[in-house]
Amino acid sequence: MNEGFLPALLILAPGGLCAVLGLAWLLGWRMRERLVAGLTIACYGAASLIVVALWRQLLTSGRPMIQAVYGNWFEVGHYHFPLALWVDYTSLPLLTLGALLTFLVAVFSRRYMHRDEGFFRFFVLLNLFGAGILLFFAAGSFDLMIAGWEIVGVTSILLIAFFQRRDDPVLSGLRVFATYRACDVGLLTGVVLMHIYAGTSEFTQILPTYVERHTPLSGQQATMVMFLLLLAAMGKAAQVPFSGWLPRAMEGPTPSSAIFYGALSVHAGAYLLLRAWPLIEAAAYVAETIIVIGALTALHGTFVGRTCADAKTALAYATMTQLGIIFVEIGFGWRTLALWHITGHALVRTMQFLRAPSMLHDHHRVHAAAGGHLGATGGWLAALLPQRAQLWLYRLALDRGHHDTMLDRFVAGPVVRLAEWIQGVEHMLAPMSGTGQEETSRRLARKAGLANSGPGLGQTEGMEGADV
Amino acid sequence: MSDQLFIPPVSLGILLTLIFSWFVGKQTDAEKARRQATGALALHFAAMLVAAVAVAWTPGSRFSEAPWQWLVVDALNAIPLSLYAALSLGVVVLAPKRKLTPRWLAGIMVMCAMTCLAYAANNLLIFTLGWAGSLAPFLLTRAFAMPGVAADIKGPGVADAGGRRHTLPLPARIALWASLVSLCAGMALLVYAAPEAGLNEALGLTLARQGDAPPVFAAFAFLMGAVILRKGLFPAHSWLAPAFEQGPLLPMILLVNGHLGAFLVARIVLPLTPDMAHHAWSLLSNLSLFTAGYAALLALVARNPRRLLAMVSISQAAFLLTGLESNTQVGIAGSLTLWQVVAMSTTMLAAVYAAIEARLGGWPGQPGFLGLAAGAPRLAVFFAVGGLALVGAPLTLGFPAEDLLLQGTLVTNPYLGVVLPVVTALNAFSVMRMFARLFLGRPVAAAPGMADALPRERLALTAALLFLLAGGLFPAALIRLPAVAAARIAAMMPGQQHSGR
Repeated sequence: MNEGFLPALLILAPGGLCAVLGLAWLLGWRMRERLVAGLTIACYGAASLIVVALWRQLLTSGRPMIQAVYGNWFEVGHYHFPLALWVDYTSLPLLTLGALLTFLVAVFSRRYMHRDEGFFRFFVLLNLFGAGILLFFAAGSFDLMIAGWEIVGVTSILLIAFFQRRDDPVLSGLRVFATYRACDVGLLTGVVLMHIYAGTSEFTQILPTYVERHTPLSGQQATMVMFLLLLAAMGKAAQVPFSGWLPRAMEGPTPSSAIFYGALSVHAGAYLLLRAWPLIEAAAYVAETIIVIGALTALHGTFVGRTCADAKTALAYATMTQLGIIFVEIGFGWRTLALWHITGHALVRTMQFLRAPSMLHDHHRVHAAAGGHLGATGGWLAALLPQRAQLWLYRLALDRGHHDTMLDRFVAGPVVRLAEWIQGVEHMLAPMSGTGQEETSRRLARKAGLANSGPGLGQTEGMEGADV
Repeated sequence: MSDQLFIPPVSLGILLTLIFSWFVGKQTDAEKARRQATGALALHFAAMLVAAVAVAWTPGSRFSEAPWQWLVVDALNAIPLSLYAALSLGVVVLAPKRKLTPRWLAGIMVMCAMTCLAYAANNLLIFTLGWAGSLAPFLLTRAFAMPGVAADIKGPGVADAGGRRHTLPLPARIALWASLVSLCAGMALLVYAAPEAGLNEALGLTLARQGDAPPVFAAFAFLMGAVILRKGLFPAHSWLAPAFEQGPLLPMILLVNGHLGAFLVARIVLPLTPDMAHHAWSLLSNLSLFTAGYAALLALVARNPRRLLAMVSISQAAFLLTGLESNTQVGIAGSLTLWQVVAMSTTMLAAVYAAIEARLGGWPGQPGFLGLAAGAPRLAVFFAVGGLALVGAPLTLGFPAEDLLLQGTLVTNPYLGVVLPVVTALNAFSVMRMFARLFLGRPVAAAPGMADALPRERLALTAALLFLLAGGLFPAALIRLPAVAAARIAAMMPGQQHSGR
């Protein structure tokens, strides 16, 4: 079998299923829960088998990696966008996690989401996510990684806002989306710089992972690129100060919290750094920065986690702590350790998230098994720190490190104020530009006692299609 | 040298559409008029598609239409011709009943025919006629006026004695008239700047006016003035938001998505004033970038969905000029591909929003979420996909378009490498905010009973969705012709840059 066939199939299977389900729904076909769930489970079951076959292929080939090139996705003149997938001992463990854990979550969700009005939507998004994350892990260039990264981001938002009839999940989803997009600028700009400096973002050209040569980027260039990629990784991996989105993401259904924020999506940032390791080596101060950020995140996660009042948020901060430690490991160059850590963490955390609805029950069972002597943890910390310091830490942790406040005040705030100032100037010029016409019309309409002004008057409830 | 098509599909399509528009305008029954207009525009679309396929078959070819050679179909206009025809057809199919009058439909048909005339023009005069004709329904008729608005809602340029609104607010009308006058002046000066050539050659599109002599400079300035006014580049952007807010939404989106300003640059300004364009590209490119960022900021704080839509459209469309002015085949191809994305996706967004307005009887204006996905999940999906395509999400045609744009302009304008991701991020947030406001959250009382996409809406919007998604998965087919056109334009430019690899 052509060795390029399996990696492609791994991504095309969930992607194709998502397309089929979506199109069927658009055309009005109502599919039964059993069919939708069954197809998804079968798809990821097959994906798991494909991953096993890839392991076998890699182990028996004697090569460090399998590269599958499928030609150019598109080309204009001298420029071409190659479609290349890359399977090695860094990406294969994560591909394994991706296929296996999504399979397990699909099995779990079949019952957990039973009779939920969003059952179909959940499985469509799960398949789209699966295609995106597998593409991200298997991508053979940073350009292609962007495609997977963005798909994961969009599906993440749509699942956070899954319970769309409530305002809070929607607001949380918007907040997470804003954080993702802001940090993704780093990835996009970093890849742009790769093209400026080296004319490519393909791994074979820019990352001398398996060949005896240097990266084409100079030290300064690698530093610039890596700091931008680090920004993106920090956003996706909920590192400080961009960690505020992770607890908000817990608004989504438990299975999606497990697969996204316990297992896969949240480790995408770490994988990006692992993949770009040759550039980190060539860059200055990037590794040290990763260590500092990771350490701060680990501390932040452990302190804030102790103030959480609900299970999923506590798990979110526990995840954050581990992610911080993983970043520290990567910064020190302990990549194999980091990879094992990611694998183990993903498995344990997924289990914990899936058990979260039963967490209290589990706790009581363990407490009873311990003869009622299951005590509180963290007493050693109380012994180390004076009372005032503990109180200060507690208040800081309760407000989650003031990170969101700082981001709102110093990052988002100035942008919004600038936009509002510009809008104010435009309104001032309204008689010349006509910008304030709507407001003028609305005021006049209110004076005239009309319900509404603008295109069409009034508001009709429950309009049927015949009038539309 | 150009070949000729056996039958002149573009001429026939334009002529038949104009003729049918007269009959449609005279109809008394709106639904019957819609059916006639749909049939006519479907034929028009088929004709444009035939021409596009003929060009795609031999991409380097250029077909002129017998017998007078005033119309031409080549790699540059083949896709815009069929795309615009498809958009016009889609708008007619999707227009809510309460907006529909026979004159409205006739206006759309005239706009479609005249815009296509401008695309296919092989002659400065024909192009000017097409440009003017595309504005005629707005400026010379009340085809898109909304009936039944109470006469006591007054405002400058809003209500007339008959209680009917003018189609557009005064600033919009001034801007569009000014763009036409500027265009005419530019065209006249172009002819004047070729004293040695005969009239036919001076009016043609092949004679480059080299150097920066005063007539050439003045012609370039007037033509770019027309572009800036029509496209709504800063500081001439102010007319667009009120036009969207107070004017007819679907005709406005069609007007904007004609991108005749960008086409003017590609077809006339770059080839006919290459030296001037080369000198001024930096200024114009940065002006476009500034407009993109400026409009993105305004979209961020826009409360009115129409205004938000206008600003996001201006912002993303501003990148078209940056690509055209890049002097590189890749950048120009990216720009021409982005054109397809912006046109299709903004039309989709406008159509969905117009459908919602029709169902709710207007924009409620209250803060908070509407939760309309409870009753209209398919409309939500169409909106989401259109919005994501507009901001370059993977799996949509927007992704390869922005990639090409970036790659092609990095050498000539590295600022784009920073501005494009930032602006796109802002626009993505604005679009997502609008999506959330309309479709998510606690449903308002009207939401559960609201009709989801009707069969005609579902058909048209699914076609648009498939275009964007299929184009994203298999972009090569839609990039091929823009790449050929881009090579031709880039070859004409002095000091042409090669991008990337």
